[in-house]
Amino acid sequence: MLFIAFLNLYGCVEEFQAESIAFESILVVEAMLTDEFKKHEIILSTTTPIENDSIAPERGASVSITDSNQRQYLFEEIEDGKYVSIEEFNAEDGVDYQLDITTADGRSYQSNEKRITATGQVDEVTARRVVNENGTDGVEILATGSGNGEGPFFFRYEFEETYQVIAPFATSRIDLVIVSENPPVLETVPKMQEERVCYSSGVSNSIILSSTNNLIGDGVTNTPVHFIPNDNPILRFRYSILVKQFVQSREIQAFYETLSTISDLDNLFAQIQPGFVEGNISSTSDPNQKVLGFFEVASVSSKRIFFNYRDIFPDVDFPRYFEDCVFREFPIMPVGEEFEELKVLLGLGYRLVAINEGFFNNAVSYEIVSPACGNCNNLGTNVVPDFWEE
Amino acid sequence: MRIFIIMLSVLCTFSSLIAQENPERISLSFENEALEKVLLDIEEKTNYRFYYSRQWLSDIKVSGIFSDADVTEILDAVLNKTVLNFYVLGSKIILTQNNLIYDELPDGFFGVGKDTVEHEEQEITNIPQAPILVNEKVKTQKRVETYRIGKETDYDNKSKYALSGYVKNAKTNNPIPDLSILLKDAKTGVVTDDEGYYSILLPPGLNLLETRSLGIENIFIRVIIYNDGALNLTLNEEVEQLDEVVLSADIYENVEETDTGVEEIDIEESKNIPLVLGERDVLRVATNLPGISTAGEGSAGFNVRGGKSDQNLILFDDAVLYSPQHFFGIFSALNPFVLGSATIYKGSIPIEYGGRLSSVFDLTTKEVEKEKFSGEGSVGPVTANLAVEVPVINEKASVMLAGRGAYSNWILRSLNDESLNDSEASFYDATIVYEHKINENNQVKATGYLSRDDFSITSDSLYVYDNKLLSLNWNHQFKTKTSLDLNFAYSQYGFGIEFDGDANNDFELGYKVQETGFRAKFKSLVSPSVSLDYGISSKLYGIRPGDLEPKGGESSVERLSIPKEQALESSAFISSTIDINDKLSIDIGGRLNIFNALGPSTQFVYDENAPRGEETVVDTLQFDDNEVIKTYIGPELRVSGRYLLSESLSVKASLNNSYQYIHRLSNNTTVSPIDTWKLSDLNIEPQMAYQASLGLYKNINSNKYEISLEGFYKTSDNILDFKTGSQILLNENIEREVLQGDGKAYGVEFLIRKNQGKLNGWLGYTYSRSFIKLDSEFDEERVNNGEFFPSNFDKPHDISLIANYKFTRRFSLSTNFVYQTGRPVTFPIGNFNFGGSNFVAFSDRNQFRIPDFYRLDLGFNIEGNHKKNKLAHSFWTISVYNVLGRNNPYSVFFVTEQGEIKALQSSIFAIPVPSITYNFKF
Repeated sequence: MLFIAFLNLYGCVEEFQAESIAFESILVVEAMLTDEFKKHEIILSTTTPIENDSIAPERGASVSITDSNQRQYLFEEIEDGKYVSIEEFNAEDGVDYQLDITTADGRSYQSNEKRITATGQVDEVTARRVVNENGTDGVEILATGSGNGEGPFFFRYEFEETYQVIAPFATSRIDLVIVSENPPVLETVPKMQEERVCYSSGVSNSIILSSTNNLIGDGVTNTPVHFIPNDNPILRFRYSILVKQFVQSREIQAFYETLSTISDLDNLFAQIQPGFVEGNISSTSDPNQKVLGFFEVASVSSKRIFFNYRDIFPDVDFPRYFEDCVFREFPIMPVGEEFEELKVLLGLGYRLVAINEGFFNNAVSYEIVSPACGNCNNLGTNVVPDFWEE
Repeated sequence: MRIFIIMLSVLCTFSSLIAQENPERISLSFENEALEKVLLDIEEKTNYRFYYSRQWLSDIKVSGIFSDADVTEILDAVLNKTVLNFYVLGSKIILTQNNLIYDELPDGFFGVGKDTVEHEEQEITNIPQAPILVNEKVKTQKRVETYRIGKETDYDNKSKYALSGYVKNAKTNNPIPDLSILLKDAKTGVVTDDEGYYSILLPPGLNLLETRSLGIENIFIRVIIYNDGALNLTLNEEVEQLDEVVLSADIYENVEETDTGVEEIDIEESKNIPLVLGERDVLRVATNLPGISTAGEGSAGFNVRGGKSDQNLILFDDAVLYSPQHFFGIFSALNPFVLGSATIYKGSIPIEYGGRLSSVFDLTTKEVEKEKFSGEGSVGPVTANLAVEVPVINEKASVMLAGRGAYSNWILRSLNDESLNDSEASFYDATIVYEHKINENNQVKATGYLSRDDFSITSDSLYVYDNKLLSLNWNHQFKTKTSLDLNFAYSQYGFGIEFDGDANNDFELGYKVQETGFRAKFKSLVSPSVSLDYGISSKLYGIRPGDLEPKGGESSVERLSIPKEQALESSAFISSTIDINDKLSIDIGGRLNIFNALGPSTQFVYDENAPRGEETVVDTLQFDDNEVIKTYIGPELRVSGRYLLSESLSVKASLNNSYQYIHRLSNNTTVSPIDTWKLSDLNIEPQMAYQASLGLYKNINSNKYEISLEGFYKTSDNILDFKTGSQILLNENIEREVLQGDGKAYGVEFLIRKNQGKLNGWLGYTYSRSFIKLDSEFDEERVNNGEFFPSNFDKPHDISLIANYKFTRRFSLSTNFVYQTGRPVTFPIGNFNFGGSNFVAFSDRNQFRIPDFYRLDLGFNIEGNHKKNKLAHSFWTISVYNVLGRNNPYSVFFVTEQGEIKALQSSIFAIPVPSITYNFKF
């Protein structure tokens, strides 16, 4: 039986501008104490209205951590909402720690007692070429880690990536400077700083979790930590990534999982029931006062790898540079509008690429290039990181 | 009681009742031939057709030689020695057993009052000399006799006098039981008992009484009553004209039944209701009835009277159907061609059903055609469907086979959502039914059912879920007034997930719940006014909560098998319907459930003074195979009553409580196919509910309109919910995540139905609320400060209209309009940054609502022409779903992508969705 059906079925998911109907300012506590000997950091902020993306730091609070040996570590606010321990210390095995906060307006909060649950190490970090779900070719950074002692172990990963930025037209060893505006006088001087090879970095901004729950053994192999598409310019030159692994408690793992679960659309047809997420901090002054966040004591370990683009993508063109390069040419002795324009461009950071010569090798014009192409410091720093290996 | 056999064929209408004037003459000879063979010979040689029941002819052998004989002569001779009579009607010859079809009225046809009271006869119309039964339109002329009863006294001023007596059959002198004696004006009446005795209360003065019974003449009598007295009646067997019988059964059923909150869906009429994507869906029609709703458009699961979606017992031929929907709830998992009836009990639930708090959806397959091969099919934009009915033993046994499948995976791809581009979804279902009428008193039926869905929303995971049902039913009628319904049922629901990602955590996961049970239910008529329903049932549950298997060689996923759960739920039940008097009828019943959670199992005992967690385990108990872990005993009471205020107006009330021992675990706002079911155990107590309802029911214009108004109040205990963000799947210690709280729901449901005429349909309005409370002395086990908050399906106002207008027999237009208050949602109340990412802080649960929901659908139905000899009868449905293109938000959610928060709203059908379906029948 012949049958023709024509049908267009459109479901739709669209973005809309949400307003928080009843905004409540709630203290947010982000506190992780690790076994690294350092000045530890605690970040206090408050929630902001949903339509507002900014962070509202909580200033002027007094913050301290007390351990089960009755030692107290005081914190000071070094910048808005960022509190750092006055002395360097590290979390010790078998010692309980507790966080106390009193805000500037006198509300006080306290965490549960926490201690290091286990230690572990990053066994391997690898970079592997993959084509991801969306069909994008790229490199995936995978971490393999394990815990010591009795599992299950709960891992959280963070990373710091550092990559070289080599400005393509920073070949000139001299700079062009304006020594006098009236009359316009230009001079070339030797470059005072490294402008060709710089280093730039970024940090993870998502919660990466894995655990040995339901797995045989103490470790998790190849947890995807980061994915970079092959056309991302950060891969153009040498790239390095430090993967940090925290061995943390089941509770904070559950806390993070709940946060990710209710913040992520997993299934169009069945939505997870969201609600207020309780951490391990509560108000001691008013039991009905809400507070968000978690105080965690964890052990940390890390591993760094380096790779070049060709190591991963032997057959693919290098990614384009971060920016397109814009070239301009000016006479040796520009006057009037030409001088004014050159002045503006040099002020913006344009760099000399070449001095064009005439028939008799006489200089006839200066060629300049846009800042990012002529000076890598626009995209990073020329200080070689301590860990850098070529 | 002897029943005058009148219905040889309900479809024959008579053109004339006068015996054929020129009977055909034939020659015939036969020797010790089967009577049926002779009749067939006559049929072959003449235009006559015989109508009879084959049972009557069995073993009758006849002999005879006729030449050029009139057929009536032959039959006279042939049937002479048998108990059969015949009657010639045009070209039809009707055989009857024992009874004679009269074509003239016998003497003394009109009732003779054998009474001492004075009576006079009065002719109200002229009676022709000979009875005329020429035309069916002519009513049998009736003479009304007047009786004067009792002696008038001036000292007695009663408002009612009792008239009593016996009714006898004039021919046999036997009492006539079950004869209705109706008081014309007051619309009340009584029925004679087995001895033919009756007693009726009449107001003083003139009363017009009418008798009615099948096979007995209907008479009118006038009774002028002065005092209590007796009147015996002698009635004749009725000369009843064989006519087309329009069965308009139970027209007052809705008024007269004692139960409250019962909804029936006319399967046949549901085909006129506009369709989504061309799929007929009885369950979707159900959601247009008051008190039954879904959490959102196209979401799976039903919420009945403010109850959670796991509180509905959905039965398909008495086997439990765990997942009655395909494709996340957009399509029903039941093939519309196999369904015969759909009844939904949301108030008083029949005593044989139990184990769920909110409702029973009793879905049964239709009676399978036993005489000829027939079938039905449809071709729509999403599926193709075919059902055939094949007789196995003529008139005794037959089988129905039905199958339906979605064409391909294109449904999801056509959803205009990028994230679904790689998605796949398909489904199918199949049904097989075998019916065998062994004899008058024994019937068996076997039903098998299978459904399966496959879907994949992300490229690394594949989900599969399926239902399997088997139901065997034996219905036995004892010689006494008792019948037995014996049922065996097996059902299984399972799902699987295959995950194939990049890390070493690829897995295959399986979940399965199954139950095997039997039920024996007896029904006895103790006396005409008391009937009893009683029986026992028992079922064994088995759950495999999850098996996790590594997938592929690299996977280091540990094989994990959450230990299986077992339990036995047994019940004994009895209920009695008692007609206390004509107006008051009550139904009182009790049901005792015994639930045994069985080992093998490891159960934890937790410190009662601390929240449940690994740290608060105080004891670990080990149970061996089939060892009882915990026994719960649940006594249930079910009482309902009806009081008739008039023949067409009644008030009903009901009160009941119920227990539920199996729970769907879900922390989604709507039902998902990968929700698991969990049995009650040491730590998870059974859910309980108490419901009271009160309603008024009115029929207008002999059932042309039905109106009902019903209110309910329901409370429940131990309703399952979860801590926010709980992990449920493969959680070995689910009791640490579960919160058990109280529920509360109340509402008023109004429904007006028009059942006849060119315009028919219904309009329903419900005002109802549903709340839940999750309180505990521990912070982490408390939600919304331990106060009542609206449930996910609390939609106070709900209006639905279904209307169908028939232009002609072939063309009809139907429409469906729904309006509902937007359901409660949990909204973000702020942003915050944590661990470098931005997150959303949510409000207390269900503090806000999404916008109101409304939708209009239109459908146009075209029946094929009614030519008789067509190969197949066809039927086209053209429908447009969501004509107004309303972008009804289905859900509102917030996504953290690259540290940025995005607020999104989704809707399933945001634009008008047209579809066309071709149905055929042969």
